[in-house]
Amino acid sequence: MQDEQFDDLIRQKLNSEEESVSAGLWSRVEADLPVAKQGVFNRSLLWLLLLFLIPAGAGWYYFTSNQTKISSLEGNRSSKQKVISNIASEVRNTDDKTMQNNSVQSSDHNTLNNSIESNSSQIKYSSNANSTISANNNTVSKTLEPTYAISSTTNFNNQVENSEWDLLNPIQASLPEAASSQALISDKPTLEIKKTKRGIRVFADIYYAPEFAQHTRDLGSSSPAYLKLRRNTETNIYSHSQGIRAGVWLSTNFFFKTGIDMFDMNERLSYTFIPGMGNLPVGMRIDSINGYYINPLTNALVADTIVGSVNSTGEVIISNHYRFVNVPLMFGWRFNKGLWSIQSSTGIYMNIYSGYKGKIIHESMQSLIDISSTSTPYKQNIGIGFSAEVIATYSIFKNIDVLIGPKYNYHLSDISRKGAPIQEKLSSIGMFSGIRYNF
Amino acid sequence: MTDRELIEGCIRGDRNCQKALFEKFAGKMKVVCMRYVNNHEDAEDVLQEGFIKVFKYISKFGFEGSFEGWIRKIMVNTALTKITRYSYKEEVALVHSNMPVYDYGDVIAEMSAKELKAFINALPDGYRLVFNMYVIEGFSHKEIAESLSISEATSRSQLLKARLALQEKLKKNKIAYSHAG
Repeated sequence: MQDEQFDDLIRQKLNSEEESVSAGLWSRVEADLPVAKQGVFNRSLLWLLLLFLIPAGAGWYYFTSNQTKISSLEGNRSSKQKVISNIASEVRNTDDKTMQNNSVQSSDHNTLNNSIESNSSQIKYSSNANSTISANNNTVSKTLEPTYAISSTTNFNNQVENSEWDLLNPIQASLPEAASSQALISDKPTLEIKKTKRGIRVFADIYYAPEFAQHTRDLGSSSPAYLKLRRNTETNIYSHSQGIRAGVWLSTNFFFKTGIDMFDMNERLSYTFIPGMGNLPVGMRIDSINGYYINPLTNALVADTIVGSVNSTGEVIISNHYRFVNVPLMFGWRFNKGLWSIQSSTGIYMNIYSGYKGKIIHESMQSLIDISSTSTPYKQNIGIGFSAEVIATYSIFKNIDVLIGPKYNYHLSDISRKGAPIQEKLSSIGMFSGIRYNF
Repeated sequence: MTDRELIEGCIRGDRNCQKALFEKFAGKMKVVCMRYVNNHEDAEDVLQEGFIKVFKYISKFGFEGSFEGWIRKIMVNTALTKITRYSYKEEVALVHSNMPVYDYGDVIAEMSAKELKAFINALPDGYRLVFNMYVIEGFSHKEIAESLSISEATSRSQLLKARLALQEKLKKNKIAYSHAG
């Protein structure tokens, strides 16, 4: 019988077989699969909606709430105007002679004139704010209505105006009364316009930040020797991040910003052994010529699984790369409004992508795990993190600021899978530098 | 739904297609895994990991050749990774290389699959691995060499020896069976 015929007989006999699998096996497979495309689309859409709705909603709320207050003020002004007109009419109908004889003494003329001038300026100011009122007040001023009538009109006006501005600007309202006279009144219209614009003012940042990252590991879990080795052999983790941000001013100094951050981390592990001795501190052995890994238990060559190189001193260097894409959601406060300002912000960031490339030593310390595959101990999505920034800004042109300052990120959950031999969190500190455009 | 439709659905990430594909091949692939690991638990671990790889790399299948063969290779390689502590040892057991021609058709036909598997499993590890990969899974010697980090010549010689060892066992069994009968 030919070999091929013999092989065919065996193949036919065995290849038609099937074994039943556990009922929960599909669930286990499914749990490790990336989110289905449809789900990814929905989730992406949700992120985009969140990105736009949160700042847009905050801006809309702030803007419309100001508009409501202004509208109600306009209504108040109309009703006040009627009251003023009525008072003026009553004054006109009063006997001039009686008024002058009974109320106005010659010694009071200077005071009255001053009062008229002073009140006229207020009236003129009011004319800027409301054309209808200005017409009436100009009439009053030109016809030199009796002083007490003008005074009462202006006082009434002041009283109501102050209460209106109190609504608009609680900071101004809390100032001492001495400051709420002519100077304060003359500032009010400008303030009103600024505040309305400020409610919808937005800015966009682009930045780059060199960072230093650190793994924080739970050394008390299943493989302390492994974890200790990994910690001790991690020579450095250089990382950097870059991204774009969009922000909206919610008040004079309070702002919200969001965007996309891409964080890259380059981890370098260094396993050193003594040439000739052959033994790594944990029992690993490396063929110093070929860089092959040798199983310490069987003394057998496994494969050239080591990524990197073995140098003349017996150091094996493995480089791994990690990438995270996050969406920050941060609130902040500006401490100065001049050319310079300090802006402190804090919030959370949501991970929308994470990827790993490279190899790490297996918990058994006898082989390496390819961390580029889905069967790695790393999560595909690492959840939520905490973020904080303190940024100095300097305005170099009318709408453009330069930004610089420290930033800090911390993953609130482990970046490795639950039950994996390494339970590790990640934190990074970096120097934020970028450009802002104020729209 | 055809295999192609299933595969295309899996490439799109359609969860229903992934589940259907899993249900279609899981039973067969468990048998494959069982040839390389010793128990059901380990076989299902390999199966789980293997299917995750299948779904991850399914876009690279390219519709060239047998899809079942492609999955089978992933499962075997995953199983080999699982038993990575195993370093391939070339078997040096003596076998009679010039055995007389014998018709094994009847012998194999009379045996159940379970009995035949028992004979194969009784082969030395080195023989069994190469024999399973070449004869049953359809690996080429080049693929076996890459998977086990051995040379193609070693793969060929180990297969030859494995085949002879198995034939010898079958023949002895047949003789014993005949005498008992």
